[in-house]
Amino acid sequence: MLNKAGFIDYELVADTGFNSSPVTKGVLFRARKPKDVQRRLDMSSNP
Amino acid sequence: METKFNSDERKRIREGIRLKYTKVAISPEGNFQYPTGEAGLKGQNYNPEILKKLLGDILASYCGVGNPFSLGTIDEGDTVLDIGCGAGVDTLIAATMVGPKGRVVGIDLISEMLEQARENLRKTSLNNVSFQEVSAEGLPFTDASFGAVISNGVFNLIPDKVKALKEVLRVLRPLGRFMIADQVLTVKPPEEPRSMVENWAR
Repeated sequence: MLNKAGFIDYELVADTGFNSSPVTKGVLFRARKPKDVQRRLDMSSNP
Repeated sequence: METKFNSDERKRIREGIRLKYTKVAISPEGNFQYPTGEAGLKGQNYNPEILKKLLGDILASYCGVGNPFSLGTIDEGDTVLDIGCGAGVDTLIAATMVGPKGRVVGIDLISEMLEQARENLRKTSLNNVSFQEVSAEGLPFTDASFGAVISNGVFNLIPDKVKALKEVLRVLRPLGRFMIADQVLTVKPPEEPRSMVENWAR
């Protein structure tokens, strides 16, 4: 989903251990905006 | 997971979130399956030197699911957006990091939580923070307004996550950082996602 939105360098870093329910878990994500957003979006739509 | 909800479903989702978080605004204690307040902050390894700058009764409002600040640095002079700021604990922490030359904006959809955030702000001497009642799906900021966007335990509650993520991308500066703690499903989503509407905020 982060990729689809246009982010780069996205990664799931770690679990947090704080889980809101038996079927969910807390996690940490980070991502960055590309330097050239339009070029990135063009590449995503034209693989 | 991308699911398009109709306006009635979105209204029910929003009402479910409001019902839960009006109680959380009074106190997060007992409303979550994990530690809140200072115990939560300690459990997520927030920097104790930073926490010392805020009063204990501000820290008592914390109900995050992780520590977004563990994902990258927030520097003096930075501009930061906190999406789903709740009672503003992460917002105020970011404000102490960016200093007087920086700026932090916290947004949330629950007016009771924003009221608590503004009350928490009044307990500080910070003047680089503002709070707004705004949806992450339609941010009222110009492109490239922020060097960093943080969020803690909120994106799972947003009905149109892709729309919100595109808005985050838009308001970030080039090479800006998105640092997020959130809840993810550990099981396969239901075949009919609309069955989740009634339990959205649980």
